[in-house]
Amino acid sequence: MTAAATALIPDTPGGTWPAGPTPLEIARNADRYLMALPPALLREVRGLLLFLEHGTWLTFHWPRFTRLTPAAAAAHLQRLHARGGTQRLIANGIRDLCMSAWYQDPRTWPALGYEGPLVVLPANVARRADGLPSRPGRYDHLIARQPLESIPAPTKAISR
Amino acid sequence: MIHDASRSTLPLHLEADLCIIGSGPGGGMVARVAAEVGWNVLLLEAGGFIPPESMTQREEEMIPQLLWAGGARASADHGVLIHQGRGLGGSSLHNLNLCKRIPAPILAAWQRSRGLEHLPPEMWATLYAEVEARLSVSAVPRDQWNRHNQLLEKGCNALGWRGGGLRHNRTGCVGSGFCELGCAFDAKNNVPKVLLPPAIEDGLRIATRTQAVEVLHADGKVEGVFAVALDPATGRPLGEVHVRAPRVCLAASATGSAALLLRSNLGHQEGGVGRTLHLHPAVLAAGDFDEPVLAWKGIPQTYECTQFLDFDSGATPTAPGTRTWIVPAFAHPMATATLVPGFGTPHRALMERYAHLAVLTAMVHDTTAGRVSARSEYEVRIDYTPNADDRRELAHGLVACARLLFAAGARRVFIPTDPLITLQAGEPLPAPEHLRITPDRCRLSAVHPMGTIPMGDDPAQAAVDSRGRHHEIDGLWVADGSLFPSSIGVPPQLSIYALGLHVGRSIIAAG
Repeated sequence: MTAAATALIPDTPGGTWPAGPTPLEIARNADRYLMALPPALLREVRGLLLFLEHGTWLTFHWPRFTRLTPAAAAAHLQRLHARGGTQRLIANGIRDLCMSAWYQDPRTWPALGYEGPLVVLPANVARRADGLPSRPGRYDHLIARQPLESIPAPTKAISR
Repeated sequence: MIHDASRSTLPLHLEADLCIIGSGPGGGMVARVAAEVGWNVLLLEAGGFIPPESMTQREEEMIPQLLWAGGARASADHGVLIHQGRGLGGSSLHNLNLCKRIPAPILAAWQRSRGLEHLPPEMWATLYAEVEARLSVSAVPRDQWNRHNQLLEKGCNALGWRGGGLRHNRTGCVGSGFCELGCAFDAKNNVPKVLLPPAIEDGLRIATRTQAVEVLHADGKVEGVFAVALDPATGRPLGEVHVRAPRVCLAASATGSAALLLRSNLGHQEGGVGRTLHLHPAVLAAGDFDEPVLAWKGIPQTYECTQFLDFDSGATPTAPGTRTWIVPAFAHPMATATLVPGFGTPHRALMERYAHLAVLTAMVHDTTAGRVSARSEYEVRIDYTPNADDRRELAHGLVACARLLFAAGARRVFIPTDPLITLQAGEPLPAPEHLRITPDRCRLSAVHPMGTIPMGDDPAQAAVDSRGRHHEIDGLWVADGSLFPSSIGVPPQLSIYALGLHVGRSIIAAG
């Protein structure tokens, strides 16, 4: 991911482009996203990364992807893309992961003219197990205080 | 009350008079109706309860919680990205509140082809009226149309094309524009706001983080549901949940409900469960304007272009340019960045025009029959490749979007195919037949899966009847967009609420 991000999102662009996340931060953002994906999709992503790392010979680059220079890595992805079909889908997949991970960072927003959310949370807001903020709210009275408990003795066992 | 099953001691054994799978508009309405008459109702929802106070308006935080597969669910060939809602309230959490009725010619065609003795067109009218009242549906006042929607209106007016304002189920909207990430201001009159609080007062129990795996049945009768509790952090199964219930209602969406039936060996040979998936595939085009459009601000969709949606010539017209609905479609930066083609400097240059972009989407009333199958115990596989007629219609829609954007004043228009097509104002538009709609060249999106368990009163033709009742398994019901016998050409939420009301009452009447 860091090698792909370095190739796809140059961190020293010209113009007024501000600093954004580092390639390592991009990889971490992508990791966080991938963590909650279903297994079948994760297998596809794993396959995509393996193909990316070891499929460089397809575009006549002999080192593996992570050992290519950023320019060569970008050229490799460009060629995969140009070939169409599955190789284009793979190039698009890694690109989407990198772009999502880049543009979720507020440091990239000023260049877009985007001010970000209206909701501003304190940095130390409590978080739920799923990562979302846990704050008192108008529906709290609907949430059970006790966990759901099994019926004492099922009237008749059911099985699959 | 709302219980998070992941916090319970597992395995969990539960009993109910009625177990509903899925808490979107269909399941939410069934739950409301059944709880109202005092039944012991248990509602299972795979996602979590996400109240307004937990909605952060951040894409990277909300999308994984609100959409199946973290928003990455796609057809098997990756040609269509399919957004489906998860979380208590289902798609009513993230949808854009559009409320449209199924056009009369479609209802009439269903009546002719499927019977539907229990759901004639006049009953739809009654159900719609009741649902619209419950959800406080009303036209969005013109002074709440943002610049993005005004530009679509301007384009329609300049071309003399048909268009108009849309009706929504929202009250107290502040126009923050983050509807697709859930409403932090609780302005959506949706399932968690309108239907569940009174149902909970009537005794409804809800188990969140609980994904149904299989409907249990024996000797032609429903026995219950086998489900798993999910880890809130990873979505992985934590342990088993067994529900014993004499009635089970599937409302897990056109993909989820069909996969459940198939996993439960209830594929129904003649009815073809899962073999008639429609999903309103859509393409989009972006216009670059000199003026700042700031399309992410304000209510996202308040105006529609219906010039190419011609139900007067039949339920499924065949002439080109007669099955396409056009509305504005904008996204926040993360999603936009994945829609903009390319990378490096060219990609960045387009993103830097973000504040000046208007984006239109052309959504097709599709005739393609896709397929849903159970991929594993917990996942679905979706096969959908648009047929030639739908590809032609999508290409026509792309060109129509470009015409509208130029007519509204765009100085250039981008058609995000691979390679990107950039058109300058005054330049001839591409002919639709020259646009290649293939999985690797033109990414499609879809937000309206439907039609995988099409209802019909003839058991030889359908798995469920026009009450949503399974023809073969006593106590088994369906109450979601799976029931539509065809594509409907309009956003489905209002019709799914209506089906929930209809099926819920039918379940009560059946006793």
